[in-house]
Amino acid sequence: MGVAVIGGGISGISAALDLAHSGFRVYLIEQRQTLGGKVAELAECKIGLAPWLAEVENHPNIELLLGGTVEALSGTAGDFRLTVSGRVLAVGSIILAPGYEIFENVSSSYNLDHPDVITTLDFERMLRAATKSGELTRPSNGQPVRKISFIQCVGSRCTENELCSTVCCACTARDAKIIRQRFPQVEVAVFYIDLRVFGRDEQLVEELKNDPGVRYIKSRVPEVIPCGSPVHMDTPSGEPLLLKYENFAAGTIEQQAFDLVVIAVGLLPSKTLNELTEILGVIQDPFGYPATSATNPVETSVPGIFVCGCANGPMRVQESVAQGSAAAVKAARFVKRSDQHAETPQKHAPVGEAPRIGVFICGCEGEISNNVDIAVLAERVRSHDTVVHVDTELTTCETAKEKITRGVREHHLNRVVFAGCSPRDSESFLSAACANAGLPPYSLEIANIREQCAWVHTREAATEVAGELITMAIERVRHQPEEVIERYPVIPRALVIGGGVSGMTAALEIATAGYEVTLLEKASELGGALNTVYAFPTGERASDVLARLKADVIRNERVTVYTNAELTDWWGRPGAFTARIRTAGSDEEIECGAVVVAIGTQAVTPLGWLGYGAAKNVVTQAEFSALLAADTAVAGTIVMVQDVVHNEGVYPKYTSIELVTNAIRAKDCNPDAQIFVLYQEMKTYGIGELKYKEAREKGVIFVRYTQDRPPELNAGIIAVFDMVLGEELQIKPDLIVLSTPMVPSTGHEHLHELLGIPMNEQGFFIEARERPRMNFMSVDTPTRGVLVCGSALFPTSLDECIVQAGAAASRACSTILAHEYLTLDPWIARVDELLCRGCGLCAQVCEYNAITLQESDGLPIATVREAICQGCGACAVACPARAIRCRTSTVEQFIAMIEAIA
Amino acid sequence: MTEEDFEPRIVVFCCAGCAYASADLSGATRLQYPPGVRIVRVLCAGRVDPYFVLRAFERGFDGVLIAACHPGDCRYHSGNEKAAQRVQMLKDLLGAIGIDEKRLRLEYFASVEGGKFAHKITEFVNEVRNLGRNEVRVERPKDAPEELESIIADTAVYYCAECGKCTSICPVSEAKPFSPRVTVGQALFGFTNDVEQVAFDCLTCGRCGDICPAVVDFPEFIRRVRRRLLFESYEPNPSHGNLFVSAARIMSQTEVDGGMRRALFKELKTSARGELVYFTGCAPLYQFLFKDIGCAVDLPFERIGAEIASIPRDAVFLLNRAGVTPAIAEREKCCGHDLYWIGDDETFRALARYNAALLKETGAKRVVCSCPEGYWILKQKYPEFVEFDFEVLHISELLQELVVRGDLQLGSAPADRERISVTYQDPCRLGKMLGVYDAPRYLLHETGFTVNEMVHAREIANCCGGPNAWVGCGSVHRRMQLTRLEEATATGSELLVTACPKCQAHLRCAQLGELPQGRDVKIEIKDLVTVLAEAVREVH
Repeated sequence: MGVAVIGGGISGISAALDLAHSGFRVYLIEQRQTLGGKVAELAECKIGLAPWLAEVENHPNIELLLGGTVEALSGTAGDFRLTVSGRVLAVGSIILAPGYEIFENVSSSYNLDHPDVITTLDFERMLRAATKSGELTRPSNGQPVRKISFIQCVGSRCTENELCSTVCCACTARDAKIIRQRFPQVEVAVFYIDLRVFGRDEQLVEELKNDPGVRYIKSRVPEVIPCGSPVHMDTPSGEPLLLKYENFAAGTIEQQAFDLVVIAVGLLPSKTLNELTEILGVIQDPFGYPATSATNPVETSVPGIFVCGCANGPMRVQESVAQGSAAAVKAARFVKRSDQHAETPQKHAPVGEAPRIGVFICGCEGEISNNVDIAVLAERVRSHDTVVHVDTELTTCETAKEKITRGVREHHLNRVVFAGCSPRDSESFLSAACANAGLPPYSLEIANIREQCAWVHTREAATEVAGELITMAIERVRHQPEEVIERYPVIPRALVIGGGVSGMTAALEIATAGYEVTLLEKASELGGALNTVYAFPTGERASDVLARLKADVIRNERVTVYTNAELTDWWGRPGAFTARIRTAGSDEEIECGAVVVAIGTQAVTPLGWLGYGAAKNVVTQAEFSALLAADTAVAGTIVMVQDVVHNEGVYPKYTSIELVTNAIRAKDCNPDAQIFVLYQEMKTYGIGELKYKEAREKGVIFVRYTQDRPPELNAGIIAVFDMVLGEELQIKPDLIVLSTPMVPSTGHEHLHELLGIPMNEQGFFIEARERPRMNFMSVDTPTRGVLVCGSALFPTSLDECIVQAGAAASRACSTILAHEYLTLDPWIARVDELLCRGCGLCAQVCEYNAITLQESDGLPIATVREAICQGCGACAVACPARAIRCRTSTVEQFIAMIEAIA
Repeated sequence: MTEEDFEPRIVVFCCAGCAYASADLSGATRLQYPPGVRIVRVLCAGRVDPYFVLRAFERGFDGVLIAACHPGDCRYHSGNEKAAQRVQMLKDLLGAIGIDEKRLRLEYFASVEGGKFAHKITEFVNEVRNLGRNEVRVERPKDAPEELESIIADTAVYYCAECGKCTSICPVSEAKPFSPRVTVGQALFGFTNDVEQVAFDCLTCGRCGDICPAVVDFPEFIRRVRRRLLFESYEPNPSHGNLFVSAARIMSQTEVDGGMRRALFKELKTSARGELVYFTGCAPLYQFLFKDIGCAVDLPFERIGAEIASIPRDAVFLLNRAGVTPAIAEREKCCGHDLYWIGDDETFRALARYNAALLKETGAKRVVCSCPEGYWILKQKYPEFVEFDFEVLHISELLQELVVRGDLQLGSAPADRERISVTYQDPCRLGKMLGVYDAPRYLLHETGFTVNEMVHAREIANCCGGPNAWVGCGSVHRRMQLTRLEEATATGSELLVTACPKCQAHLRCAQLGELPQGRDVKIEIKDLVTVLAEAVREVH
């Protein structure tokens, strides 16, 4: 019995990998013949996806059903029969992840059939090709592009697709940034309605606005006029495409010529979703997405069937990954762990044994063997005296795995060199093969004789180059010092810090998955922000959500709650941490395998803003919600203000949605009320767009002001310059309602230092990422075994908190708790205490706080916090005595590699 | 060098994050680049030790390229920035030791920039091709390693009476399990491995030799054992990434220009020829050496390096004040002291031969050194290895001569200076090994200082704990340094004066960072010539 994941895009892959790592059997069903979905088409993402694909394709718990079509379903949760292309699968639960389509019915006024007018997805492909070739050219004539414009909100926020597609503003910003970086001569213009970007993307847009080569123009373009049409007579410099738009500030109609126009088309649910929901009996919402709720964001109407990623609404890659994980941990409840989940034996070669190296050369079905003379290589390799076994009969990844495992056993190898494709493709499954054969994690080295040799050089040169690359790899493993890599048992308990909605949800998910949980809350009561919120924009009352969660937590035998509690110290390694917890009356140490940080955020008290604190008729949105609930919000003229202060904290993701929801409620309470909304960007993303529309329909008046002319309150009158009308308005409000920004909680700084979680400029946590601009990971931190979720990352909405909490729970299980034993990452730094002078330079260069100085025999000595070290090696170079070293990249290894081919 | 038709050999260090992926993509796109390129994967460009780069040049590679993520893209936050700082330091150093700095390059790649990878690599290879071959090729010794028996015979080890005085006096033995007596004993039993293992623990300070009743030459014994290790591998645990030793090896085979020394002395009077030649030594290189850290923090290290780098300027300033215009051999190379002490006779001989010829060109009869190591090696070992017919002086000896003769006025001894008390650290090469104890003290006295002696001074002075030949400086050495500093502070002096740049570097380094409470090691440390020059400037 396994879990069926339908859709091989990023959310499906995320779900499948989490389940597989936790030891569950997964059927990954993909209609196409390739995995990766749309992410594989994005300019910056394909490369980052490659290791994920390699992992999926080689994981023993995952069965791939490429080209599979879902045909029928019978049974109930825990015992489904799913028919896929004629084959009946017995599955306990199903995860729907078929992704999205782009809006195709683009108005002909945009002239999408002109070769130089393209959609975002086409542009992503073009950008990738341009990056390779170094030239961004017009599809029509191959001439270099000089001016690009992006037109936002085409096929979204419109009658055919009422929702806001959420991701396009950020996507365009990232593309603009890449263009400016790689093709600085190209100018960019972005035509938009509202800039719906959050967090890091908000900063990115600010950065772009300061770039003289980028213009953000608040105006929608009705048509793209190609060269040759009667109105396109006089473009100044021959750009073929003309855009006309209204200049709001000047009140004039302007026109600009471009040589490439990118249409940021909206997102729609995948076309297969209709069919799938019908087969599975899942109810759809009016927009075609499976119906879910804010408190159950990945659960469909059918128990045991979950939905994640863009099939659940438009969202960014990172959010899709989180949804995949969140769906995985829920789907796992309906299945048992597979028998195939066997812990790798992890026996290690005894310390002091001389290197016995096996070299495995893969021909890669001709990719390598056609250009490299493998027989010559084998001869050369045999001449190394530490090489005791050479195998050149490898052709595919499968044979490589098999032959390595067998070769290690039969020839008692303790080091393995694989010569073949890039380690980016093969490292994960080959190190698994070595581990299966009982080798420690540092015993494998890969010589990349495909991407960096056979595919690059001529036949004569390639054999020579390959020979040297293999020699270098041999030297590297030969000089790899034997390390005692301890295998230690995992403590099947998680520590969850923060008892708000994210913390409680994470605790419950982990407990339901079968592990003990210690839940820490610094206040005297659970609930966190739920205690201060009245209702959610989606309608749920906070007190109901809180009561339900609290009851579940208290009822759950596996969850132990500590209130008035604080984490005072923390040490250990992934899977086996010790946490010191102080409560009012006690100070105790708790062992745990994983830590989930869900410490939330706190609201700024807007003292002094538009009279808040001094005048009784100025309240925050949160306070206004409570007034509405108590029916005491009767005011004739209400002015709601958002975006007013920019130098403190960040505005939560739900700010605009909360605002329009409250405006609607106020109108419902008192239809005669006059409501003015003063704002800069109306960020009612996703389904929130409907609320925005409804508020407008109900007569709420929206006044857009600009940063340089914020609203001012004088003698009870608010004066504001409406940039849409180009006029100053004066309003005499009975009530002023302020949307307030959030700042990190008091615990951020402390946990940053203690757990090594990086923070951004505003002081919120940052998740681990492959690279700053390509982040798939959503809840993982650089510290293995430490996850972070909810508003501690960025103040966000209830449903997103719940998704992230589920994702954090899933990652805690799949990376740590589901394993009986773990070993430390092999690359972490270690200190030779006799050599350490205790000067502290290593601690100064470490970006992770991973090195501390401890007194030893009268001298400070550097000590590495194993759980936090990332193995980057900065300390190893900084140390004047070279006393600190990375275990898998020592000076001796590098020098030996250079020597070997000198 | 003329343009040649040859295929440059290039090492490319690729960070595993972006640059390695861009190399993969370049290959997947079937873009070609020249076949002399060898890619080494590193987790992060910040892991690239300056030593790796120098070593590649030492071993004949024609170019080195460090491929990192774009600024802001490093998954370890700032590894690429650290790499950029180190590359700048290395470029300065390479220029000073005769390798064209264009042979080293840093490039940034995003993982999707496959085309850029092939393009930049090809561009770099072509640039290197135009520069011609890197003619440096440092080889390991070619003869067979010397038998232990022969070393024993030459250094009178066989005569050890097993009295143990050596171990009792050895500063290293105090700090860690190490015993000259046991080592000698092991050698006599033929336990070669045991002896080799401790070869770099010895500081070759020579205290054991001084008191040995059987005149066992332990430092020379250690030196010859170290030479055996050269056949196996190179130095274990190189401090500062072995920059100095590696730089000296490279220098021994390149042509160096005199820019660095010209710049150093540009406001002073020097000449190309003359009666007396000043041997500058490696002090100017310290400005690079201590920049190898490559991080954005404020480094007291760099300041130490800068101050040491200016010692030769103070020395020449003093000479000028005495009316002496020294000749400078601008294209001087490393004296080879450290290479000699690790047993690298080949490199040492090459450097000695070069320097001897260069000094001869100045027409001088006398050579003066401000660094005791240079002084010792020129005086004791150059004549042994190459033709070298000079009178070699330490700057303190020469200055004493000039003061006595009345040519140099060190100070009018103002009344307030009488109260300034200093203490003096005898460098091992200057004191114990060449007997120069009085000249520095005489000069300090003439300047108006009161010299308070430490418990261990003159013949029994303790070593500064400097790792010998830049190998293995650790807690053992720091303990010795701290003990020595405590001896200095116990004298109640305001200043610790030493005549050796290495004493200064290591003692000042030991003061860095936080120390356990109760250890009083805070004392200003300066070189003799710096102190004298400051006093002279102040008086006049």
